[in-house]
Amino acid sequence: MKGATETAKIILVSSLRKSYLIGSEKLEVLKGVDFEVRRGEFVCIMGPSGSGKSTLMHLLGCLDSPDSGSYILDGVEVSTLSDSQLARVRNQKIGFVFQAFFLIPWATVYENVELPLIYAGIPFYRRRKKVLAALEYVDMQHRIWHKPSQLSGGERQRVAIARAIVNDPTLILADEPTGNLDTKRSQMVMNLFKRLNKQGKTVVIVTHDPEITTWAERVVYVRDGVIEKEEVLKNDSFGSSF
Amino acid sequence: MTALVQAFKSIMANKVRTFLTSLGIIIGTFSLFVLLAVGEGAGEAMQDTIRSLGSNIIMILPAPGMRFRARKVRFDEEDFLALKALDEAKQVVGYAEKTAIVGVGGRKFASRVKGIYGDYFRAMNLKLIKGRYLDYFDYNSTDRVVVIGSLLARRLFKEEDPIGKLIDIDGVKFEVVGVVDRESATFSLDNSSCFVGFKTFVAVWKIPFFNVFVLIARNEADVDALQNEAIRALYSRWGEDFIVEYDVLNQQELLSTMEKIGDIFKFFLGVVASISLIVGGIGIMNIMLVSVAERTREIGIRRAIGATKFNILVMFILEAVALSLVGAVVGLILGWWAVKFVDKLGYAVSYNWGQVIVATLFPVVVGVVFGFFPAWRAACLNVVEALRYE
Repeated sequence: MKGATETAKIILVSSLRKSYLIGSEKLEVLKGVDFEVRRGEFVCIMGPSGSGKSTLMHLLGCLDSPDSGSYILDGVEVSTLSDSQLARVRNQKIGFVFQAFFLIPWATVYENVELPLIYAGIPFYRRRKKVLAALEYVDMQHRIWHKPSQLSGGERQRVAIARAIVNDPTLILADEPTGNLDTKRSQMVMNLFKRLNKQGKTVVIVTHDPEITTWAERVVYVRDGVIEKEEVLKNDSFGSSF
Repeated sequence: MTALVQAFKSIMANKVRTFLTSLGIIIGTFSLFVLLAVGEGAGEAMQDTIRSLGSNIIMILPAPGMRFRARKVRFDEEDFLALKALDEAKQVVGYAEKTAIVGVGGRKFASRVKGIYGDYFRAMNLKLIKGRYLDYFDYNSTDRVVVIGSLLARRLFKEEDPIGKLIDIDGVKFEVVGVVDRESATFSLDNSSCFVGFKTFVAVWKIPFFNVFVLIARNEADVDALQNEAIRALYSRWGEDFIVEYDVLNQQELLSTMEKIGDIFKFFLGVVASISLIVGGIGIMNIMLVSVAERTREIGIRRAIGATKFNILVMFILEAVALSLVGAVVGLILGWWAVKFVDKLGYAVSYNWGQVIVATLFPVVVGVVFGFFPAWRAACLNVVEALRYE
């Protein structure tokens, strides 16, 4: 089983545990999560609030380190990496899309999308092409010099997606990406994710909205800090290997 | 480079705050630059003056630090005569001095009054440009006549001829009989001083002793002998107190003493200016802490998309540096103007690129030092918590 499937798995998580200290009390949020994502897959992580799905998303996104367990991202064990190594992993391998967009308010659309490239150390004359390509991909090239406050919610999320893909990550990690959008704009954003997925990007979306799960190939349900169940949906998948 | 551009963009996003924060640095840089220029200028002027006196000069001065304290040694006419009796002395001048308010009409200026005994003007190389020097009769009477420096004459009388006019010195009327000028020096205290006869000085201000003696040797070869003889003469009258309280200096020693005094002067001016810069730095630290708190979310976003702690640290330090650099540049421009203005007024100033560099680098160092703590805080924020921050 191993060997061949190893590289096919972009996320390989086993017995992942994480607890927080709230005051003097230790709150166990993740109680041993085992979970994997194949390269090119479109996966939804579902769960009610307090289920631990946000914590799981933070660990998957290398924003935080687990207490114990292993997390192999794209063939690299990341649970033991240092802070600056994690920053590099986030920069190179992961594209984040957040519910509240998280654009920098005083920077223009262009500057927001450019930011991951700056931290990647790409010289300015090579950044421009990449930024414009990413903005074109989300059809936002006409708003390059606007500030986020001058954009609608849907537009902001598209800019955020452009920022997520500009450095060509292997994994797109979205946290309630449609949570602040109406139905029509949600559709548009989800279509973008679908398109990215068809072009080979692995997409993992954390949500509590059942509507979103219909876009996925597979849904992972989290409850009380463990994986409750998994559900494979019949979706026309491109990257799926079965 | 990109980071520095970003830092400037970021501080320019909030112009009023940037200005107010930089104000401390503006004032600090301004005072540092102006005080350096004035200190340097005063020092150079003193050196120039001493150089212009020729190498035959010996001065007997209160030792530095002894100037303001009560001294036991009080030179009188007998000391003057003892020095005058020395074979090697061509000329001996004694004087006492004090600060006084000099006025004519409505105009009033702070000035130095010197009560002189002996031909101070020739000994100190002051050129007569109008009227006459004080003469034998002036030195030996208490007539209220005065010779004034050229700069003071210009201030009091503008284009008018001051000769024969009455001026008011500390409330006493004096008749101006001459105007003198020291042209060899870029600036001289004597050009803004008043000179009266010693006996007049004693009668008006009741300070009956000399502060300083100036001796001119007959020729250069006699200078060392004169120096020794003068010390011996005064030591025999005043004993150890004279050695403690006074210096007997030839031209070289005067130059190095003046340099030392100038260095101390500059050091204290520098300390004063540095204090205002440090206060400015605290202002920067304060506002950077506010900025870090306000931008917690932004820090989280930057960290999420790949910024390392080091990137965040550098970002905020550069912002602090940008703030202080803005202050430094504005302060320097204002300081430059002020120094030019002071220069035009006729005071000694001296400015060069060295001072500009010091006045620019110092604020930058202040920015780095005071920006470090807020930046360190920003860098150490927990990414997840920073993203959740409302």
